[in-house]
Amino acid sequence: MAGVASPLSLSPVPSARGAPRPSAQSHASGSQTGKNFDVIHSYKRAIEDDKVPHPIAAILALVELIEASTASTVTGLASELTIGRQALINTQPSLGVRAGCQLWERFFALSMGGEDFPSYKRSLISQGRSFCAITAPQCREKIADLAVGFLRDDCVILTHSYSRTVIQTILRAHKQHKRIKVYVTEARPACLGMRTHQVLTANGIPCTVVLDSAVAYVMERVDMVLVGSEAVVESGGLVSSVGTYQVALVAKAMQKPFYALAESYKFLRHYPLSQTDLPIPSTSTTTSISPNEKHTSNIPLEFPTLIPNSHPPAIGAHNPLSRPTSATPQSRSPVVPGTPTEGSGANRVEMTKEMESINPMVDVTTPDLIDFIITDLGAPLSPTSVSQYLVAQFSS
Amino acid sequence: MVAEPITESSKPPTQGKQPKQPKPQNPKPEKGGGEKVKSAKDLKKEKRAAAVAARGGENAGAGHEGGRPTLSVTNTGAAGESRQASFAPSGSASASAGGPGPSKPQRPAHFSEPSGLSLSNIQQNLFFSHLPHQDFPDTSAALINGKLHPLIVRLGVLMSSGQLRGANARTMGMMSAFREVIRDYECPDQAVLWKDLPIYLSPMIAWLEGCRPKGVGGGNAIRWLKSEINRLGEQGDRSEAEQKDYLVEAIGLYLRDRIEFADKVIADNAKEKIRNGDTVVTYARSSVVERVLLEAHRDMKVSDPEAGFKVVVVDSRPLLEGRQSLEALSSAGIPCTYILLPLLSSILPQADLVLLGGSALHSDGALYSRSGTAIVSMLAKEHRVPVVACVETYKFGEKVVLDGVATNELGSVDNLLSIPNNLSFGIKPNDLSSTTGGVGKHNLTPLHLVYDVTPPSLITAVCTEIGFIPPSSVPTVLGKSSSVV
Repeated sequence: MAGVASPLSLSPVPSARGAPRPSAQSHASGSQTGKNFDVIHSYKRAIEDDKVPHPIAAILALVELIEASTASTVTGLASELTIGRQALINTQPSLGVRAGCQLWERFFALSMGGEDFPSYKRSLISQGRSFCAITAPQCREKIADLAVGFLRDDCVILTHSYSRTVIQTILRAHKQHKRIKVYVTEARPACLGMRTHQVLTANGIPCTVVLDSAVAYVMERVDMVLVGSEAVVESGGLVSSVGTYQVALVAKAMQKPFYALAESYKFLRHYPLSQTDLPIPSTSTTTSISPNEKHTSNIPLEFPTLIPNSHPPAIGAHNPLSRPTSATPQSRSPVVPGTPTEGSGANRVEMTKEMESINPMVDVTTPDLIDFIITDLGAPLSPTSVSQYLVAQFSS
Repeated sequence: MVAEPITESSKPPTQGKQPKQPKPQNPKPEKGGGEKVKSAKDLKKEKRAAAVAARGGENAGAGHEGGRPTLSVTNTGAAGESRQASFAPSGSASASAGGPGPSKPQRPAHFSEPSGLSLSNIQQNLFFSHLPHQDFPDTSAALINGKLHPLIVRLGVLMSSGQLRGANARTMGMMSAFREVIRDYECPDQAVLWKDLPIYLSPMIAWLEGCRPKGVGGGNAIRWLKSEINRLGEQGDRSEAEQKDYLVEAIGLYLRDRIEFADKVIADNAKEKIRNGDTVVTYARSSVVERVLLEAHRDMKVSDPEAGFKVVVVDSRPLLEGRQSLEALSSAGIPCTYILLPLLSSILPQADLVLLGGSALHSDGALYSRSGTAIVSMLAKEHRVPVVACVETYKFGEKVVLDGVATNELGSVDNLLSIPNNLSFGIKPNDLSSTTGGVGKHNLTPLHLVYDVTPPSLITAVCTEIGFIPPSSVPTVLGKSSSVV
């Protein structure tokens, strides 16, 4: 949100600010995990399985950490877990990881019982494993069961990007011989919408890929919007792949119902006040941007701070300012020349990798845009009741 | 709780006393000042007395008696006498009880017959005549009375004069004062501590309420204290000293956990939301918000000396509390801007966050805070700036308040009409002094309401010691904590 700050508050030495933080972070996490067990590696192995969502992969990694742990006391194990959790949270961009870690931490704290340490450890491991192997997939089943009732015969659904839960729900409706047509957004830059398209067409469900910019165009033909999520936050809002917020806004404007599907292990203890207010660590991708475009923070799409001596050449190199977002109310004011990068005429110029990398991966859908969040907790919840549930869970 | 002992005990003792001191020795004490102090309490008594009168004809006399503006509400025979002796000579104590004698006909008129002097009182508030009017408390009467611990009297004066302002400060002041009172308290021989102590405390609570309403937070604290005292009764078999020690310690813990630690956690939570380069808007003065800003500033400087954020302190007449806030913040090195409320809409497009304090948070999520807060939040919502209210959970109230009209406080009008550059409305301040009920020959009705209500829809998040919660989750928190409170 530095775009808000008046020129007076801009500091002349931005590079000094940005540099130390990420390096210190990665250094710390490297040394911590290098000791005996690599949580990150174990997490990455778990996430390779297409069926495993981020929170579950994080829990699996932590369970493996417990297995590998040599600690002989509960306190020792707890401190090792804390280090492992921090390593995961500080390096993985997905908020689901944080949600999984929080869930495991809470479970760990609650399950601290009177038994002796080895059997306690064994029961922790077996409970963790069974949660990941049995309970978690069941969550998705339950959600599909609940959500399928919302899909009428002959209805048109708009979904965004790729969500296993959404696909499972649609497939279940299809099995019940409901005729369903699906619009799916392309969801650049990851283009996971194509994957949804693949899966659905392979199952014989009519599916059309829509440009992200054509969401408003297609909305009038849509009966409902169904999205998955990466995390559900305390305000009752969603954190999910970028573009969901925009879909929700259009749906609200056109008075189409907007339903979100979320497993309860995606509930995250965080209260975002704005789009940029998310605890996403600066990942390796953001720090590897060319050095002369150092970002003072890891806020996506932030304008680079003005570097004093780069005035004349800067205009050419200034393209990262691609599209104004709604991140800050101020971003509408400055219009910088030479910004259009795509579809600007005969010789089409594409976004570079660098430009893409400063774009956000996720956005926050505010609770007022969501009609229901369908979870495995039972009846579909309004965002208010989701937040009440979260507060009740965490405030104990 | 308090109600029962008061009605029962107030009748017979006052009757018994009256003949002893038929006329006050000094019938000239300024009635205007002394009388109205007790109006809030007396209002309650009046109502109760009226109810009693309605119930039975023979009680009518008692009802009238109940309306007497005595501070010795809870005369409990011998115990009461001995206590009076400890604070003041008993003769003069009961003299003050009889003191308001001459004004006897005035009192009922004040409430039941709107005529004569009381008419102006009603006119003063026009639409707000239902709110209790506060005047400077009559300390001499209170001190002589002997029912009130001197500390409590002092506290009442501090609160009433505005030297002790802010819900946290007042609650902490009140609870620490009660801690001292309990330390000094000696249980009479025939009485049981857990039964006698509430009776002993209730005139003090009433006196404080008369000086300034204690608000939701203070009310919660008092309710908690009473439940603690009651729990002593369940435990039994402890010596008086032990019981007192227990209460003293419990009050200390309450203050520490519910206010001091809560503020610390709130500061820890809220400062995460302030980032480098942000502009934070705050209104009037709140001890929590001040703390959040100071800590955020300190942390930011520690991690990076170049980083920083700006604060816009919004203020409004007549209290101008923002000045104190401004002083604290700017002396800590935070770049500050000071504006008055009318300018806010021009500043808000530049802002990233609005931080508000509050006196109470009602169960529907509405924030009860310094008047003007609702305007700030409304404008912030209009400009899509997130509004965060920092409120400790002890200030959560179970009531639902729909507007700032039904429940509010009337503030002093004097500041309202005195303008810094000595321009006046063509009126001398004396014309409008409270003795004439605020209505001069100019048909001018100055009105100063201390609080307003911000509806939950205007608040983005509430920052409490249990984390950030949406205003809609207040009942969840209340439901969880009500067993504790």
